[in-house]
Amino acid sequence: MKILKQYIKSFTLWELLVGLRLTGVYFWRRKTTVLYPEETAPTSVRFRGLHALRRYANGEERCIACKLCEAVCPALAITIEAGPRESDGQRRTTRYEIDLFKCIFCGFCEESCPVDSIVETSLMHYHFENRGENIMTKEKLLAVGDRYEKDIAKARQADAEYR
Amino acid sequence: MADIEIDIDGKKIKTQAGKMLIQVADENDIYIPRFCYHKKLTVAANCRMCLVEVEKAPKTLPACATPVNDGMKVFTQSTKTLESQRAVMEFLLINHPLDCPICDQGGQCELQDFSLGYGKDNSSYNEEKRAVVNDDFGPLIATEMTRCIQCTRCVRFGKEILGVQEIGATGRGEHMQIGTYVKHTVTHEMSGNIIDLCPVGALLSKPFLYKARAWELKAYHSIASHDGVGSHLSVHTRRGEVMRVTARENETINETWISDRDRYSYEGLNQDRLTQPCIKDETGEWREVTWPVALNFVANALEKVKAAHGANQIGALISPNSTLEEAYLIKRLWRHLESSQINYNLRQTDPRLTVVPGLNIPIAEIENQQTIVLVGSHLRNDQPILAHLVRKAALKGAKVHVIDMIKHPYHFDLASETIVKPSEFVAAIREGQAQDLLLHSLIIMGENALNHPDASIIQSLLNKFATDTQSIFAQLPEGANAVGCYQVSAPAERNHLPMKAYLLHGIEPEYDVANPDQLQQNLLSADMVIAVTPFVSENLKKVAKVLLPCAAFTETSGTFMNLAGEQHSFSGCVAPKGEARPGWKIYRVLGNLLDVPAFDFESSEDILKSLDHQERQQVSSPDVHSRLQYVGATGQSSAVMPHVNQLERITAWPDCRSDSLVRRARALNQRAVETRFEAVHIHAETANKLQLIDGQAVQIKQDQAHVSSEIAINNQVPIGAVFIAGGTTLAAQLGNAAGYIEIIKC
Amino acid sequence: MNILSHEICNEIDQWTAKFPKDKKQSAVLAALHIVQNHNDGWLRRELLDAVADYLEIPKMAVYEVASFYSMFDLKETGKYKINVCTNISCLLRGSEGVVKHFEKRLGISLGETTPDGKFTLREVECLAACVNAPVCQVLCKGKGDYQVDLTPEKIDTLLEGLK
Repeated sequence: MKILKQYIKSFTLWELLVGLRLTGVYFWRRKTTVLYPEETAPTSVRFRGLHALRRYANGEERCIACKLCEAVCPALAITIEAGPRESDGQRRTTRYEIDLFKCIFCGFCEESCPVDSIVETSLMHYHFENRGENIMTKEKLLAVGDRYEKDIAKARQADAEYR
Repeated sequence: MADIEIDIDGKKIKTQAGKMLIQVADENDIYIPRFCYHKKLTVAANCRMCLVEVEKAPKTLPACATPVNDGMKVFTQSTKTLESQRAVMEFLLINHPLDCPICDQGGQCELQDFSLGYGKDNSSYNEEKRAVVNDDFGPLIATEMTRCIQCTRCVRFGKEILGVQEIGATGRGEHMQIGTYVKHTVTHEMSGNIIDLCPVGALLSKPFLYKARAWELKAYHSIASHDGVGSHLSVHTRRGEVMRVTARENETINETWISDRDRYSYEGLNQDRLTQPCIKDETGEWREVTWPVALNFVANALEKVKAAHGANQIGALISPNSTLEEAYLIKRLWRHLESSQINYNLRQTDPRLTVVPGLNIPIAEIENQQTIVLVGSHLRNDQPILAHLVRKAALKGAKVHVIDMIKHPYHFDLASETIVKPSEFVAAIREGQAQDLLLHSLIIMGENALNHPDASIIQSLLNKFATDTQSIFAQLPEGANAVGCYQVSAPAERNHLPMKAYLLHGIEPEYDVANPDQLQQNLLSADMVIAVTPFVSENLKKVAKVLLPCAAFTETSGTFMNLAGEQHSFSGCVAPKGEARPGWKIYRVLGNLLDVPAFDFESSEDILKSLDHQERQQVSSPDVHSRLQYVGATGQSSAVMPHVNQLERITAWPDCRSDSLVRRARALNQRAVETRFEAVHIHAETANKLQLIDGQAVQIKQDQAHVSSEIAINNQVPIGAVFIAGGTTLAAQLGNAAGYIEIIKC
Repeated sequence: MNILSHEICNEIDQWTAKFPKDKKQSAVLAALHIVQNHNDGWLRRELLDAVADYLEIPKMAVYEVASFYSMFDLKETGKYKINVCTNISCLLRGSEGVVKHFEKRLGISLGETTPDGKFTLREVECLAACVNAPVCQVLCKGKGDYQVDLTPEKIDTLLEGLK
């Protein structure tokens, strides 16, 4: 009897049909996957991705070299040197570097910043091709900030009421 | 003072009547917050931060202005006290800006700390804060007067310690401002201390401005390397670089102050550094080499010169700022080479003179002297801390007499002042001696007198005078380690003729010697010139054959002996730049290459230990008196009569030009620009006679040298004399510091 | 030194004579009053320096005193200084109206000087004449009277009299 049952199952490909039933169920269900990279999953406004240094609307850089982010960074990824700016003697950084290999994306730098200068954007699509590119210099950080200022401002705006 | 007992927070404390409460609390490690109180300044009691509850007093009392009484009961932690402190903090913060993120004091700020520790979390003040127009105190001190909380520590410091009121509090109430009123640079040689005094971020160091945060810095103990006081320093470094220097307390030496030269000289550390040993090849090109190559080359060269010309053709000119260890190793090396030619009194113009440096009393004792005679000593410039102590003595009633060749502004009253030309200097001292008034005094023979062409006569005159009047005779030459250098290698018969090989340790031949012109010639005609130096300059490249980079101040461990003969060791704070090595290591390896016996030192402590076993020259006073011979009666003046048109030259090294490090300190030199140290200073009458005006371009002629410069009218210079600052590019082109000058109109 | 006339020096000497020889600083207030009254009613910096030199005290000590007291003017003033009290008693008796009337008549506001350099109008704290509030004080060369129970008419006659 047992042998007969097995014999019929093997001829009708029964296991395959059982498996295909599951496929069929999911085939008709609502999809949860996205077509990455054409489509992306939604991210929180608090997403902590690539860093950026922001500017004020008049083009003045926000960072005042208070060095709180450097002090708070648990991975010691931030290095700052500062001095009076040559043109007007204001306190500014002369060097602002984040080592992305060290960074653990905890977001403390952003929390500690008194002028909302250093922020973590929602960017996560970046890569390095050469040694040394993991160091985000001040110029690179400002460039990121300039390019995505609209998104950054929008995200801060959306999060503002919870702060 | 009667012994009494008081009670602070339930702790019974025995103390003396007359003391202030805060003093007693400090002595017993009970902390009371304060802004305006400072133990070295008078009590102002205007910040009210130290209010404490005292039993039976209806209100809380300021601890800094409340004398202790027997049976007094004080509560520093009671509700009433804490409430007072909170109220005072709220009051002080009314007008204090909330700019901590851009304030350099952030992280080391007393106001910040107290706000956290004793303040409230909110303020009932919602109106506008005041803003104050900023002042400009010059290149050393940065100001942000809006942050000032009017504790007036800086004002009191100026009045009481500096003796010049450059800073004051103008206006009243909310309009009270601390400032210079009439904008001018603060010029006092110890003014930088107001930065340490300021409890908030109103007064800051300008060269350090915005450079680093307090929490990034590591503090190392060090000893000041520019004068013979041995001020205790705290050197703050970050990532292997010196960021700033502040005072470290030492009650017996510098109290809580340091001079501006000690505070700001670190700025020179990054200028013109030599980072690799170099050898000049046959074509005159400089070639960078490794240490073994360079040292082997030096060892061979020294032996070659010794074989060809004799050991006494090898001379060492060492900076009196060298550490004890360096001086000692050079001495050992030279002894091994059988040369006795080591010289560190490089500004001396009298070859007959043997300086026996030393104060012969503890430094703190200066303020207890009854009579002080300053002979040829610009103490404020040369040893600022000692000048401060002399001032303290003067305030206590001491009589200060001055005999000098140039009039220096003193910030205390002088009992007498004699200013004469160099040629009349010896006579003036003889005359002063005739006045038999100065029993038990302190006679200070300063740099100007030691560099006088008849210094040996002056020395013996003063020495005899000191013996006759039972006075203390102090000789204060330049350098941080003049006493140490003397101890390990007392000058022997010095050869001032050209030698065949020279070792220059830490000196710049055009700036650090009395006769740059002559030395330059000697160096150029020598077979071998070895320069061991932290800094390289065009001139060193011209005269030297080998350049060995040695560690600068803060980069080496070592020991200085101050003028009181106290020995202070210090460690390195940062690594030497590039391939530079501490001086003692260089000489150790050189010694090994030359097979000097027992020369395997592992550390500077090792060297010091070995030195302790050696016989040192003693500098105690009775010894000095016996060793100096009295030549006053017979000593012949070396002066030759000047030509009719010639003027006597006076040379002194201003504090910003005194050694290779400070000459590279930007801010110090910038502040000194006003003193016009590159100009030729003459008295208005001399100028009248020669029909010269201030700022006029002239040619000056000394022996063979012709140099163009400009005239500065300066009535501190005696008539008929010319003052030229040493260590300047002007002096570098001239000859003997004690020669004669002719001024030719362009 | 000759910026202080012989006459001024004599007057100052009368004051210094009242104090011990080494305490000349005690005469600084009197000296400043004397100098101010002899010099158009205000103290130029040179005058302050001259007083300091004359009394042999640091210049800063004189600046401190001169800037502390409102009786010393460090900026140019008119010939007549009109000090109107606006403290509580005068306020209750209508000093606001008095100030307004002065302002209207002189065409200047508080703290200003008329273009012809004749009047300076100022508000001061209590002049200790509350019994006759509202009051003002008219000063000329350090001398002057109180004008009491002010009314618009009284002010008019006062100003007419001064013109």
